[in-house]
Amino acid sequence: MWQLAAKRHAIIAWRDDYRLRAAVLVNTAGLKALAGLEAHLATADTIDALRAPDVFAARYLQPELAAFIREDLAALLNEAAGALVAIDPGFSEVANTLRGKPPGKALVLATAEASADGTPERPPGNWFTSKIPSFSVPTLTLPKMVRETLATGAALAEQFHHSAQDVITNATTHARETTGLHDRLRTAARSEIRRHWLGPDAETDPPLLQQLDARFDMVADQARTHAEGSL
Amino acid sequence: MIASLLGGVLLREVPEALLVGVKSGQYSVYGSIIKSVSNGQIVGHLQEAGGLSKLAGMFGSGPLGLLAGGVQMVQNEQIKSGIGRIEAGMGMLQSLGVANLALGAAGIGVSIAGFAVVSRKIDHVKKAVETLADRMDVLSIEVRAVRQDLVAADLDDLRALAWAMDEGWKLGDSAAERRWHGVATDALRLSARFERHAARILEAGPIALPAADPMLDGLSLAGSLRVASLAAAGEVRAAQDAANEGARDIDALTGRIGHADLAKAKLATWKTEPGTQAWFEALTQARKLTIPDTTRLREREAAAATRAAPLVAIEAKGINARDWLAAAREETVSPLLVMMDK
Repeated sequence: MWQLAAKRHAIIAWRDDYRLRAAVLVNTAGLKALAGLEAHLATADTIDALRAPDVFAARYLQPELAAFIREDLAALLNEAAGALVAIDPGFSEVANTLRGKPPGKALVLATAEASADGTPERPPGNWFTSKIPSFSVPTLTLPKMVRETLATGAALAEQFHHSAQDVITNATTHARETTGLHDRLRTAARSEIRRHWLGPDAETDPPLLQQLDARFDMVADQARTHAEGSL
Repeated sequence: MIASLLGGVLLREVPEALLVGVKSGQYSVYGSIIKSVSNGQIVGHLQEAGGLSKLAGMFGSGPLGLLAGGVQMVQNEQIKSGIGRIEAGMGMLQSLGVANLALGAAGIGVSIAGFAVVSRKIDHVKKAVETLADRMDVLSIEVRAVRQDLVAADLDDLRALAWAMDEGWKLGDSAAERRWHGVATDALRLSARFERHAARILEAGPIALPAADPMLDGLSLAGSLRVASLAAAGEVRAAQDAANEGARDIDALTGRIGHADLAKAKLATWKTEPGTQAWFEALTQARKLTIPDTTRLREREAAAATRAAPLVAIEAKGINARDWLAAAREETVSPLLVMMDK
């Protein structure tokens, strides 16, 4: 009896350890994703962002989530499987279920976004392309003096072009901050992370962390049953 | 008395070598078992002894907080009365990491604690039940459905049983056997009631564990009384079965509740925004705050799971269980004795 209890204690300690580590890992990934979002805010498509901030957040975050699942989370699940086998080599079959493709709708949805060659489908550069206006100098045939004058003017114009672009970018960023556009996008991203990554207030599909908890619980339950049968 | 030789097997004070081995990590303590870390084999069986009543008497309010304040209290006591043995006993419990377990409801080994000790443990459980009543407005429907007056009545019944068990030692052989059989039957009935209370409360999930804790302690006390009474009555096989059954009952109630469940349940009450540094810090804090509850869960389960182990060993060695328990009761100085496995 005590051997079974001791083994079950080792199993639940294993489960708790990895459930808590998964929570920290997913939260850290969420924090990183939110930090990464800041770099894209300045060039966000204003119209799209205003019309559907949720779509903006999802389009940015889903590839991030897919990459996280494929890399960091897969590493954690692999490590967890190894740690379970270390408790009892008889758990190897049960542990292997952690090593496969993560189940669950949200996980499948996220991994499905990875392209066939295994790289996650990220937006090409910034999918919210820059809409900053630009201008060009027309090519004309003119007297040398005029040409030289114009050449100098063109150089000046080019300088002006860059300066103007900076001014416009900064002005746009400032305008978006002051009109609350960036906050709307940040809120949408945080909401997306709450709903689909960490929960607990998911309205539809269970968030990633809840799916992971369920997975660790299921594997721990299977190991408990296996332990009873093997003693 | 320091030790008893029963059927060629020494039930004695915990030797220094074992304490050193536990401290160095060579051995570990799991419930009432000391086992080798390298091969998992049992090295010895711990058994509570009569000397426990001296320590228990110093902690009338219960074992909680013992580790924090216990040593100082013991030192004060020593200064006052010069009872160095008490400090030694306390030091031994702490060296083995079983102080809260020994002085708590679960106990160590087969319960031989006299009525006074069990009664103090029941007082502690009763206090916990009363604080539940004070917090009725914030408790879940499941918790409120368990009537506090019925739980209190069950605890009074348990106290009466502990008295009856203790009195049995003063009776003649046949009267004692009848008495202990009766205690075992009533303890079974009480166990079922505490189990029902705990299960009802735990329907609310891990967050309700603190509310279920007194019921689990009641279940533990009733279970250990049942095992002790059967063993004292010479029903060693039945005592083993009862111990295993008790361990299964407790495992079924709490075996799937872990640190992650308790920490997340605590975290959920704070409503911290996920995906933030604050959430990470809250999770860290929740983990820290729920360590004692998790430890109590596992210690209670381990105590229940190892209760039958010495009975198996003494049966294999042909030792009379009643003599074995009587020897442990007669040890009035040390709180714990050990029976080496080999």
